[in-house]
Amino acid sequence: MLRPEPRGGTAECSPGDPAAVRSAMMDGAWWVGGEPGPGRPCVTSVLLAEGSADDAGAAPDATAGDGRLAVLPVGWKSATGMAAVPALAGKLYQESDLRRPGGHASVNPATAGAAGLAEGLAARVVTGRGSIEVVLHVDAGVMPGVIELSSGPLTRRATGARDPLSICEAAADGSWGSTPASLEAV
Amino acid sequence: MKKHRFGMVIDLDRCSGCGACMVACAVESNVPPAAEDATEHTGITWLRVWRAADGDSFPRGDVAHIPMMCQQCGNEAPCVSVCPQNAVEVDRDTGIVGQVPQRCLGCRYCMAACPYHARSFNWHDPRWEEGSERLLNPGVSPRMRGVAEKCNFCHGRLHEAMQKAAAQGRDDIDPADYVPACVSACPEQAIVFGDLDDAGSDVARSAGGTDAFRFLPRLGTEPKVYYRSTRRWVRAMAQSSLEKRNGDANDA
Repeated sequence: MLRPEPRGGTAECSPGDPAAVRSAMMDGAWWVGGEPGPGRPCVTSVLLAEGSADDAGAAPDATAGDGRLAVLPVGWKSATGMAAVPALAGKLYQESDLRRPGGHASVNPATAGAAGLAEGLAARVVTGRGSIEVVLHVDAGVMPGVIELSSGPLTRRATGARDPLSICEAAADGSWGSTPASLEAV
Repeated sequence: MKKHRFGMVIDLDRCSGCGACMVACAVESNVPPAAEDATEHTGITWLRVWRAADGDSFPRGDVAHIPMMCQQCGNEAPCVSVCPQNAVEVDRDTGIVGQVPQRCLGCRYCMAACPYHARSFNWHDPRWEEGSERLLNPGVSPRMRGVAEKCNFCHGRLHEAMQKAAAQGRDDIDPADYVPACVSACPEQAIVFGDLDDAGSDVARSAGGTDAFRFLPRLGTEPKVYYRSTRRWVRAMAQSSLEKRNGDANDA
């Protein structure tokens, strides 16, 4: 989960203001799932219960039994929204699969199977704020019921695509929490 | 210069998958930015960080990031034996497997032969955004369209270290003067580099550790790039598929 942690003089975010959240992310939003480090590899999908930095919480709507999913925007520091992939960062986002560029999403195999989707297929993520077409990746490390939506940046070929964050809702504390969503085949 | 056998050890338990080594490598070696249609299959990366998972489902799953570059095979490197142009040369004084782009005809036999998928092909003329070409490393020649390329342990940096030693009247380089870009860029200090034949060096001690291993050892290519991890599934991943099918992980 990305939470804007203002530091280094960055202004405090207004809760629920996506523009302020984006701005804070550009200034260095933090992973609340813990910094990667020795003996602690990156965890790609962490939905945190409020106030807990280490315990994985339940995804809203994912456990409600109504078939609804939760879309969770994920990204790296200073890499989000409609910005194009910087020239050399293309090594990470385009010439390898180390990081997912905007327009890509990852789900658990169980989630993909329930939607009749598989690795590499085109899919549509629909929320109350709209929909976005993505390339789907299947990853057992993603929490069931969660759609990890890469918040960008976009590759040059995808320039002009819809901002992934535009279909997400900011939580009351200004963080990008989870947004109820559904996943459809294209 | 006295004889060396340069190699490196990468601690996979320290690697966080940040990708700094990939970018540093591209900058150091004048690897051009991605073409618009480049993918992970057609891009040019001398060093690529692969993400591997143990397959366990969330939240129990574990992830490892594996920086994979030319493994600098020490014995019958497959790319050397298949190249019809002698464009792949092994420096007997350093053990470095080098690529000579001026000789390469672009047949890509070497890419098919490399079991580590560590080679790239220039599908396009190299292009840099206007202005950024002034940041190119003057010590490394950019490659042209139609040739293969790969990691050479930052050979340009070795030359600089040799020139410095010669200027100071020394007959051998100072190990501190020759550190590849990926090693110096790693924020986790996960990569150790040096002379594997120097028993007192950090790299030799690390390579001899109980948790050290090499990828695809059954092929007998004797890579000079070692990895280490305390995680059993990570070490097992580097072994042959036959052993895995038999359920015989490498911990035996």
